[in-house]
Amino acid sequence: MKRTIVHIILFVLTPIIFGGLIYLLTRPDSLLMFDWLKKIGLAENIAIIRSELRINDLLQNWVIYNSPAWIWTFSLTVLLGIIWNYKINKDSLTILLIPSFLGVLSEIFQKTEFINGTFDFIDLFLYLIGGISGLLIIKSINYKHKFNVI
Amino acid sequence: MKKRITYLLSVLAIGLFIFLAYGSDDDGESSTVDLNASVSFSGTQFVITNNDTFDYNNAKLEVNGDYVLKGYNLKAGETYTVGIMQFADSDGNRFTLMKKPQKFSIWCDLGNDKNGFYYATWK
Repeated sequence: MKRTIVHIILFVLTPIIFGGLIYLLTRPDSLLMFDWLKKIGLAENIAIIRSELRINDLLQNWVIYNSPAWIWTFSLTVLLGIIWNYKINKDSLTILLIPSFLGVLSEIFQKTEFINGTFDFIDLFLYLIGGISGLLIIKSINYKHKFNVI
Repeated sequence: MKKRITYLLSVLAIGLFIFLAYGSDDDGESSTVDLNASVSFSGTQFVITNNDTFDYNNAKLEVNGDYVLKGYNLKAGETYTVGIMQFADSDGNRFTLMKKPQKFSIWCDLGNDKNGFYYATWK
């Protein structure tokens, strides 16, 4: 149990917090999350922190615009792997591939203008890499079960 | 039963992440407007000018992140002078001449569920 918590902190929460900070500190404040922050009274604090840190000037564009694609796919894949007790088998693999599938689907929807956003081939690639790296992490920390794909 | 719980937790995890992804959707309309204000410090007071064509309502003025003055209305095109002693921190301590202003921010209501924001630093 203790080990599971460590894995969640390392491979799920830490990347998600990092990805969340990228959004909060670098992305335009026209994102919906800024409306949510406003509703809970944090919009001013975030505006001040954004002005003070000016992280956009420090980070490369790919970190700001592409890395979140890898981060959330990786985190969700690992989280699902933990939920499935680190097993990669016929049952779990379908579920474990959902994050990458959803990511790729979102890019296709952006390309066809079905949803908001700009199609980016690098994002598409990173959704797949995020899923694969998540599976590799599950495999590498799977000390109980054999890697047994179908 | 155990498998059912596993599936249920998987759906919850995926739902949570979809919710977070939805938060990163861009509706194209910023709820915070960058204010075209100017602020200078004369040694004992701040001189604040609203260079915009709209009023800054219910403005919260903040010095060095701690000292605050709330409820100001700054009319469009007008200049205001505010004494430093009017700013106080959450414990009621006033900003004094012994302190050096380094940061100044304005947060105000603009109507239509929008807020205005201005931020300046001095070295």
